[in-house]
Amino acid sequence: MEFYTMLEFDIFTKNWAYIFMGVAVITMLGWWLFLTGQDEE
Amino acid sequence: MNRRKFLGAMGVAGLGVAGAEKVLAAEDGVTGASVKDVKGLPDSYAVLFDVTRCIGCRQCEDACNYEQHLPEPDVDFFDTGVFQQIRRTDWKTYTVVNQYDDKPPGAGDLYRKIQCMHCLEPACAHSCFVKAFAKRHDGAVTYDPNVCVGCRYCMMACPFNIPAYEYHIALDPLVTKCTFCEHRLKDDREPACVEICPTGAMYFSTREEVLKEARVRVVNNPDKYQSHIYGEHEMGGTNWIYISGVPFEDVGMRMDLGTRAAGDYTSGALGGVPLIASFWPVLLVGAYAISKRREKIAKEERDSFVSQIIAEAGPEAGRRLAERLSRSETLDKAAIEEEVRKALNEAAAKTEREDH
Amino acid sequence: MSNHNHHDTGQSPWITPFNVIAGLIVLMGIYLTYLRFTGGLAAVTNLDDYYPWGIWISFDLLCGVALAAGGYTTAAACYIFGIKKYHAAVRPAVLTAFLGYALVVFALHYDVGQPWRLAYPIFVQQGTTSVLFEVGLCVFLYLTVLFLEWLPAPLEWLKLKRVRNIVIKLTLVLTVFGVILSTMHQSSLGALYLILPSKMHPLWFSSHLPIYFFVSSMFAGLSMVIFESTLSHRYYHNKMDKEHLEGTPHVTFGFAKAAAWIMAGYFFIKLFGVVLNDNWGYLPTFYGFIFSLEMLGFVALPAFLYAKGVRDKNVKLIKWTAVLAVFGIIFNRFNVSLVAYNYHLPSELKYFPALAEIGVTIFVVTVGLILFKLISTRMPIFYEHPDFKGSH
Repeated sequence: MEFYTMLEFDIFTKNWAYIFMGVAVITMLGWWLFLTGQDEE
Repeated sequence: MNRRKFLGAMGVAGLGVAGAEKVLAAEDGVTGASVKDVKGLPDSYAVLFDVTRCIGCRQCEDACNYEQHLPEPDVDFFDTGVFQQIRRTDWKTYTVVNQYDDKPPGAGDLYRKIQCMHCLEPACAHSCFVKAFAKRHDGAVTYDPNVCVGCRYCMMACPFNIPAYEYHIALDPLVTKCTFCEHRLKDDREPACVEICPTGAMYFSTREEVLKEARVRVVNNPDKYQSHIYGEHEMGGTNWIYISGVPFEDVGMRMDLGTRAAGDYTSGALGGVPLIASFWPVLLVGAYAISKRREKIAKEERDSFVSQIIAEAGPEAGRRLAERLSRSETLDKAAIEEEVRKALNEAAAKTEREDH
Repeated sequence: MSNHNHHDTGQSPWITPFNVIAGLIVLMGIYLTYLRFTGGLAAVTNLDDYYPWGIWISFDLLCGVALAAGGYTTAAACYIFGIKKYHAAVRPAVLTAFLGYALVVFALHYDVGQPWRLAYPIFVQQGTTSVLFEVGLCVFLYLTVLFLEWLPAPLEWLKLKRVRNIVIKLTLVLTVFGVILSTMHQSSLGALYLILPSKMHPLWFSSHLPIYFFVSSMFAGLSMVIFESTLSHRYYHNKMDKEHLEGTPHVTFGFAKAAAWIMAGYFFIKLFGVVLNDNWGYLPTFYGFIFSLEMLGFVALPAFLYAKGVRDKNVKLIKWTAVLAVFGIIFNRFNVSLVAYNYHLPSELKYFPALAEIGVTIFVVTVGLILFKLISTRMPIFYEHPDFKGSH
């Protein structure tokens, strides 16, 4: 990517940051279920 | 700064976009960005406003009103009565000329024109949650009325108090501000206010050329000008540049704004947001797991005591004890032992009574 | 307490002081709504180009969100940290938070210029560089979470057992997600002011503003739960079951202790704002007086009174301290958003809310009270539904 202003840089990076935040939260949930899936009650 | 640079490097390297021109931030006057890989806008259009040349004729206000199809002014543009008070931009005025007291007295009145400074890194654009503002590569900071929600955070954010609002409109009020005559910039023409100025108080060119011209005037006339070029670095730099013969505070310009772009102040906080999103689950679910585990251990201890009681004092005492324990909130060992002792005593007393 | 029972005995007449006053306020609200959407913001507010944000932001948004923090603090204490004694307090706290956030969004419809575009930042064009985008997204998501956390109450009321049991299974996930979202937007409300350093008085401006807002939201929420439980016990005592009544002292003392502890930490992080920015010189000024009043009168004092109340087992003192702490939060949010903001402007350019503006805020709060009354007198809020006892 080419950035002419910091604003352009921020828009680009923050867009991805929000997408990956969603990915992170959902992955963490799935990961916890996987991690504890074989636990005995 | 290190963190930003690191993030910048990550952004570029991670996406495999090499070769972004390295421009040192804020040192060459073309960018207010603190990220290294930002090119800046040296070829963007800019205007130099020379306070020493403005005579307060207000023709620029008139030209702006005509060019932008703004409503009739409350007071005629030839009326100098408006100078009695300091005015600001509002919904029907994109630019204003104010009069300031002559200093020293007798040196002649001072005038300064206000309009959008067209920041290199605009606070309004950075703060807008629908991206209604854009910084165009020709220098103009523009506004898209089709998405504006009317939250007015841009007005909060602007360090120059430029954006205004149509508070009197019931259903579709908009933010208003100087457009740098973007329709004219597209044809490489100067803004209407610059064109009409009879004293040449405004000089229109690329930002690089404008800064050069400002330096030439200041360096060649050290007695006439303050040795500061306003807008070169203020709030990360602007596309409207001012030079003045008197201290800038005397013509209503704040000298304490600093050189950091507005967006730079929030990047730290916004950078913390993904951290919360990704690490809070670790801490919170961790705390949950610990409390669950503690509960489990307490339950196991309780159960083992209960079975001990059943063995020693019979099933009835065990049942009553288990019931009482399950109602109890205190699961620590001392309390359990206390309950056990009580139950044992009761059982012993009961056996004694039955024996007699 | 028993002499208050006649308020809610079912056959209570329509003409009660509450209904009359609330009815009049609602009528006023409808009239002000008409004025707002026919005459524009200028018809009902004193907002101008220097003050684009008035009390609808200071009180309805900033205070509203902070005081609704009881939802995430109570749910976290009960479900994440496993303090089961607080279980009975969760439902009233979640209901309050849900109504609180719903009313924040309702109030914003008056404040923004084009309210039908309120969802634009989420669905049309995302201004991700804006702190306000982060606030908007989190409030939207958290309102959804709070709705789901509250949902078991109406589902039990409607006897929809199967759906209710599915929603109950989500409790932990919702609680964790709720705390994440709350951390993010409670702090971001403070971060809103980071972009305008030149307009903020240095005593209230700090790069730690988001941390101040988040930490203060914790004891704001705790204090609000204590304060509310005082009111609820006064008017809904007969609605409460044994678990609720027995749990209340645990909540009062436990929350007061937690609030006192957090406030002490808050006092010091605020103090470091003065230390790190060398703001000592501002203290002997008018703004310094306001700042000191906030710090000593509305943080240090309630912290101490909470501690005293906990040590002396003095419920009454704790309840009054909760009122003081709630006022302290309101004082702080107003100081940041109206006193510190534009501190350099001459006094004739400063803002003071219009009567109609205050009227709309009173209307919004009243709508909240009416909804709380309607819901809590019908649905299982202060008691466990007999069909679902112990199944949480």
